[in-house]
Amino acid sequence: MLNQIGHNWWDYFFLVYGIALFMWYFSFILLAILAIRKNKKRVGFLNVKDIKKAIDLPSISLIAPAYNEGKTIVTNVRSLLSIQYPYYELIIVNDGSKDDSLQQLIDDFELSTVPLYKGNENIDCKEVVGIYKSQNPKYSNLTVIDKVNGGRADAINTGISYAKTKLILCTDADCIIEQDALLKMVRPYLEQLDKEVIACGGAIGIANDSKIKNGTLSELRLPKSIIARIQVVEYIRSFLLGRMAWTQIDGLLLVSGAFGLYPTKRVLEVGGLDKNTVGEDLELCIRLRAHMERQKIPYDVVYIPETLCWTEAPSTAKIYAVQRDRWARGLWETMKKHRYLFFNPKYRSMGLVFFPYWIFFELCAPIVEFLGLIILVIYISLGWINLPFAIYLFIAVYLIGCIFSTISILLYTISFRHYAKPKILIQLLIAAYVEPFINHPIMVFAEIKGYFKKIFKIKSSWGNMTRKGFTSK
Amino acid sequence: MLEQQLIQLIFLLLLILGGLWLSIGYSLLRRRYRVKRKKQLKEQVIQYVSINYTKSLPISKFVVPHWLQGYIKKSRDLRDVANIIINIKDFFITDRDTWSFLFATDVTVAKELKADIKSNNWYKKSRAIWISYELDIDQNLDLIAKLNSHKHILVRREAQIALVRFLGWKSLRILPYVKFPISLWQQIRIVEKLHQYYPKFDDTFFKKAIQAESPSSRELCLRIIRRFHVQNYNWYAIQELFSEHKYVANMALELLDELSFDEDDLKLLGQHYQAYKLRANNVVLDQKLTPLLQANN
Repeated sequence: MLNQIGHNWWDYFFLVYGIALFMWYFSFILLAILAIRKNKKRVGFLNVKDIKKAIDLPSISLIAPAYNEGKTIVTNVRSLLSIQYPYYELIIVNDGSKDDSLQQLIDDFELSTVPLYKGNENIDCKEVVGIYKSQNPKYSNLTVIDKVNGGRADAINTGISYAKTKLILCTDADCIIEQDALLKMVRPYLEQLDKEVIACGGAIGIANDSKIKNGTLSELRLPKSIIARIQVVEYIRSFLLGRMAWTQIDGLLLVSGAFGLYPTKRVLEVGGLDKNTVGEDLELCIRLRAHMERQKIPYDVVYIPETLCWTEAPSTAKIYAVQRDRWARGLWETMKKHRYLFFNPKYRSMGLVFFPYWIFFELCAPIVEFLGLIILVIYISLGWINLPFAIYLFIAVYLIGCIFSTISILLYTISFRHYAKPKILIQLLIAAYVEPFINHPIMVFAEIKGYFKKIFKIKSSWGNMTRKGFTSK
Repeated sequence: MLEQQLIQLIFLLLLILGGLWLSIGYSLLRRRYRVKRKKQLKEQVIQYVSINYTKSLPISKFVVPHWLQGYIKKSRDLRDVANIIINIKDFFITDRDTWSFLFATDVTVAKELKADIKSNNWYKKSRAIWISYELDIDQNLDLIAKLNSHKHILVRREAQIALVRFLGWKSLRILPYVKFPISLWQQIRIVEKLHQYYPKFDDTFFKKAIQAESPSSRELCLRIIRRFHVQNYNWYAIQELFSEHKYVANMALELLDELSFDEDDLKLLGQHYQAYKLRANNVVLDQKLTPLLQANN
């Protein structure tokens, strides 16, 4: 039978790789179902109403870097200031914006400068030009730090160095955070007993074209752009299947940069975010885990499946490609930096299972896919291919992909109410089924481009992520 | 041959996909039905509560209506009824702080709950305990009390909260015997439940609670001192300031700012501090205590 499949060893390699990948995904489904069931049962006994009025909650600094966010900065800061949590400070770090973001903040929140003081010196960051506090007692928990431009990681590091709280929440100034998000995110820290929680992430949803009222999401709609709509499915699949599955086996290596809560002490111990990578969220999580492994302190990385943070996804192919190019470079840099973990028994499961998975199936997947496409083209031109067989194989693989996406949508429908209308679900299913022909090729191309830049040391920055911004209606 | 097998596989995959579509459709219909049913139930419960609440009948005179009996016989529906009542509690402002008139007279509910509390399923157990304390059904208190050190964390947590809700300060007697550590989440819930239902500090039982040796129980005692602004236990806070368990010591350090010390307290603090300095060095403690002790010298 195998003779019919391939001529050379690489044919078998692609077959084995494909089967291994499908096996992983299948395991993810089983693990995610277990994790969702467990979470659903537990969450009924973790009512945030019980702790709403408590005076014993840990304080949190919400750190949001802003670069040229003039269009939406005031609305977003108002939204971030209205979060329900008794003890939090909001630190907006203006990362050398060239627009009038800072002036808008000064005018709207009655800010005035306070004498400059140094933040925590364990963290290296670019020069701070000014620190602003509001004259209005209503905004007493708002601090705006104006600094020389140094990128997202540098801006967050600045915020961390000035944070005076036990926990820090890293987010973006253009994210919409659910009102009770902090109360929910803090839960794992309150529940920890034998394991220290070193990071907690929440699900992130896509809110393009949705209705925003007073800085909160009043009506969730599907994005009009097909590129963004397909990303809704991608996020559901990645957050609900991927992260829930990893949580079930304590293998979560990534907490999204747009919404992650960390203990200040541990982040300071590892020196904050790495400014030399564009994948700073993944890198921080891996570094924190490795740090705890070295110290032999039991730890946990927690994921909360409820969507607590809404963001705007790229709505054009060009911006989408820029984003995926950056993510690919971030992944490459992080894997390279932490290559010492690869099959290193000193780091237990992290070194023996989780990190190798990331190398084989996250880092290498686009390369294998790209090589597969090249070989396919060569085979077709040499007439080595059994065309009907190839078409059937393609259909079967495509259908397996569709099944994985449909299962994610089904699990999401059962667990959450966001996309519970038949029309929306049909639109989501269609988006899932056209993904392999629209977003996926762009993604593979962008990832290969990102790796190419890394291999040939082509200098590249964060990339221009033009956003429309949420508009209040 | 292989092509044939692939075609069969494609049909199988299409079948699975079709099954998934049906499941999505079913889940949508089920959700719609459940939402409708819950809405209907909510309206009925609100109507029933608002009519009966204005009547000043003794509890024994209340009879649970037939329609509600139907709901509470099913475990899942009972949880829905409990949820509705808990949610509407806040909207009925009255001097009567109990909703037991709805259920206390009906043995069915207590019976249903008893069966669930005895069940081997942790989820059923915890849920029954939760319903019991949220709806003031204390008939199964003896059973619940035995579960305060249950091996499943959620069962023992709910049992502990039920004891606090029903017995108030008296429930703190169990602290010295609690086998498992109490998480911060649970400590906060205990303190908040006490504060909500039993706002007057009761020294009799607190005296017993502070005999607890486990670090998390001691941390809980410190939180109670802070929440209730208790002043005559300064010695306890001072003693725990030098605890070898960092969470307890940190809690005591946080509490320090909120206590006012008299001369005797400061003398005791000075003695403990001198003894502590001989065996350890703590910069944060030094920064906090040195000015305090110097100012009072």
